[in-house]
Amino acid sequence: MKERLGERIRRKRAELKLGLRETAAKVGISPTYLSRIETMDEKTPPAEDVIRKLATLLNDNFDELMQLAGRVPEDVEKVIKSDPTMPAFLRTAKQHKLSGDDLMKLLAEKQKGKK
Amino acid sequence: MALKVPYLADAKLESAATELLRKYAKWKGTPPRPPIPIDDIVEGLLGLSLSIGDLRARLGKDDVLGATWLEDGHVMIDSSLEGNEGRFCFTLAHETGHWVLHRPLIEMEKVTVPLFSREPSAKATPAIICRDGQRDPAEIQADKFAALLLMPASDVRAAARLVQGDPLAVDDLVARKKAGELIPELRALASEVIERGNFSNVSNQAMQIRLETLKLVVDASAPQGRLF
Repeated sequence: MKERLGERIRRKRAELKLGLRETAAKVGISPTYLSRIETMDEKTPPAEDVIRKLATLLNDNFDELMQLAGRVPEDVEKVIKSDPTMPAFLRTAKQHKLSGDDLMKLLAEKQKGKK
Repeated sequence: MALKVPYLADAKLESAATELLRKYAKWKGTPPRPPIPIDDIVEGLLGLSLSIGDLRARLGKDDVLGATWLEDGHVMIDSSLEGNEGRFCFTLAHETGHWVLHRPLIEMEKVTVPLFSREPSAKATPAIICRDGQRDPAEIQADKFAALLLMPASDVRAAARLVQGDPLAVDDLVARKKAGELIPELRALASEVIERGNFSNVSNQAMQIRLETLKLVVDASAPQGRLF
């Protein structure tokens, strides 16, 4: 079963031997709020800046945490909103079952070809 | 339903608290100094999961402060204690007391505990529920353990020596306490010991009780307190 956001945060904290209250203080949120995120009692996903701080503190991948939280990073949202061809591009990629990794590889090959 | 436990002498409780501090020192590589890092003892050394939430709503009891789910290795502290460092740490140390003192008894099936569930859909597991003002033996033992853990005798004595050489003699201490009177000189001493000894996660009230237990405060009116 896929690890949930709260489980991931708790696991990373344990790996780094960071306490619940210590982590909350470093991120600038209340211990009760962090506890609610960890136990999935908090129905609203944490804000992007909270996830960013958690990712930095826990040496974790920001984009993966955002995905687990069901959030789209603000900069990505701006890219999609500012370019009307983006939704069509993403739909096409999905139709061709291309993952983000596949697209990155295609881009890398294209870059190589240019050189 | 109260948890029924066998009698434990104060010396046994003290040795259990000292042993836990010794284990922590070995695990950390350095002996703990006040403020005793109770969060790290619970989450780091003992490997228990800690959460803070609305226990009162969850368990339907309006005076609950902490709970320990023994099978899950989980401790939960009521969110009303957040921001009150002394009471929060004392409750966490109290739950640690249940884990250290009473879990082995439960595992040996010498006592049974009520079943509670943390999640509505989850299977109910045995849990020790700690409420404000509970005075049954298991709760008293856990309270004493918490005081011994957060305020080791040698550290309290050393800090008290920095404040004053002899024990504080208070006139009619017992009678005034019985009458519910606040004792300013005892409060002031506790406050100074907290500051000089760096007991920043201990409440003034808890330190007052500890000073009395260690006979660093005596009743000047009691026979043993009289000089003549």
